[in-house]
Amino acid sequence: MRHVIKSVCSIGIAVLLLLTYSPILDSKTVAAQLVLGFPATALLWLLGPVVLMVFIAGLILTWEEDNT
Amino acid sequence: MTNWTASGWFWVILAAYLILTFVAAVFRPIRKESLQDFFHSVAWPFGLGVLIATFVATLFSAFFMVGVPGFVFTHGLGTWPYFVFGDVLGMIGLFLVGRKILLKAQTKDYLSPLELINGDPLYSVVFVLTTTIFVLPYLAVQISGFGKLISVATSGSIPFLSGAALMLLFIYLYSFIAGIRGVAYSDVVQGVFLFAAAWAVGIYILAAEFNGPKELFARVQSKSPELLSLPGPKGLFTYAFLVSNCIIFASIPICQPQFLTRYLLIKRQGQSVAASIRFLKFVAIGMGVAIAIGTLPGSIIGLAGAMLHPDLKSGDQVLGTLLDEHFWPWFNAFVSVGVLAAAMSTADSILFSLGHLFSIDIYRRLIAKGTGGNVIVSQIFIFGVAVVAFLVALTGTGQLIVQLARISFSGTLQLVPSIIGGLWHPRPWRHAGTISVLSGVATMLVCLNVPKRLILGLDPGVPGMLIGTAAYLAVARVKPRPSSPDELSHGVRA
Repeated sequence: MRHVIKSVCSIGIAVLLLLTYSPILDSKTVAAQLVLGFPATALLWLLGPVVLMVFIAGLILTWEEDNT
Repeated sequence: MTNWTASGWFWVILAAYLILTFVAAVFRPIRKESLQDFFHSVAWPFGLGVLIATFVATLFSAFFMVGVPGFVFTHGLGTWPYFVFGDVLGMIGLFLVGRKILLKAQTKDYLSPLELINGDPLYSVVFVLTTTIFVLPYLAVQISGFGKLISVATSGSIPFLSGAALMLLFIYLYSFIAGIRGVAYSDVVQGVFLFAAAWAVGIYILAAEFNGPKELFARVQSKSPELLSLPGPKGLFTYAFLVSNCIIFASIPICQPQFLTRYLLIKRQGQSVAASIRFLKFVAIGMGVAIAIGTLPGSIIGLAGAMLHPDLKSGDQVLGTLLDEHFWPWFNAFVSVGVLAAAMSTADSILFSLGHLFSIDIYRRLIAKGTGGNVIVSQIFIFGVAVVAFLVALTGTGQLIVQLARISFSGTLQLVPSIIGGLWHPRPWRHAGTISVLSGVATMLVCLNVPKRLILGLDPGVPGMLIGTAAYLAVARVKPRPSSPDELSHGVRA
């Protein structure tokens, strides 16, 4: 389970960082816009750093001391 | 602004804030004989809440309440991810460096993290001087901010000089009486004030003027859609800006003295290193959560300002204008005290950490050769730093000071390779750290004066750090440090 969380968090961090400057963020057809009504860019930008923070927190929490 | 003085709200709330801060800071004064207690609060180890608060409040300066809204107003919502991504990445730096310091510190009660990083005297001098050159102007700007804010909020009843001096004296007083405990517990009160003030403004303006976030974003989308686009209305948010910000902000917990000197606070007296590292994990996560929570209101305030007062000349006027036009005098005063608390929480940490470095790493280790120096000496050094910072603040409009304060984070970034090398490299040459810092700073200064396109649009600190890293790696093996016990005085023990 710990390894799954680590992998998900690592991949999530990489994808988020890449997405930050991706043209995808300027798309107005992202599903999120339909759900909450905010402009997609605004919603993704607002959520992006929070999700990144959650992924990093996951990595830190699953850090195993005996591996070092 | 004049309503503040007329109603007396500012005086009342300021007095309440100062009393609360002072009581919280000094209710557990230091044991006079113990430097460990003065700098690391060994007599009263901090609980997790205080530890998180002191790390968070150290990071949160007045920039989060005044600068972030201004950036969003001018450059759009890209401010939020571009700033917070880097700050959140700092969680990784905080955890990795803090963990390494805790692991290395388990065998002895170190007084300074520099002893663990590189015990070479020349490196200590270069480190402390570099830190001072780039951090002291930042401290001076915060002190200058106290003076201006109090002068404006009291309609000049307390002039700039008196306001700055009184607040600095107040900070020094609780640092003098309670050492790091005074700084940390005052951080708790200051953190509550600044978070409450920021969120109160954000929520109220959102509810009263826009009926919630949906309408705010809809209005921005129709009126100024460029504020929701990259690279922003003025083209600031480029890929190079993102990379630079991520590197600089993520490095703050690694190289800023107020963070470096805090890691040893987490060392739980009488407990295992594993327990300390568990604490560290929650401190890192707590800081990440606080960054996300604390930066969001600034973004809301900035967007709201762009919709309600689009003709403002400068983004820095957003918060003040919204307060003047849309809030009651008492609320206006409360937020002003929140801004003051944000500036003070950063200033007290920097002041204390610079005093720490000078009294321990320069005076005690190099001049008194480890035998001299006590709490009173440290208190005198902290006072000396306060006086110098105040004098620098008096020339706060000087071009050099403003320039140094602007590149403060880029300058301290040049310490990162030597800190990471000192903590992780098994047996580096003792001068590797010194050469790395000097080459990094020199490169940065050169890059400050070349066209930005030559450095790919990056912050000048980034190429400086890269050259500093290369220099460290190149010279670390010139003369590897012997691993005999005698060489342990070099500082690397774990």
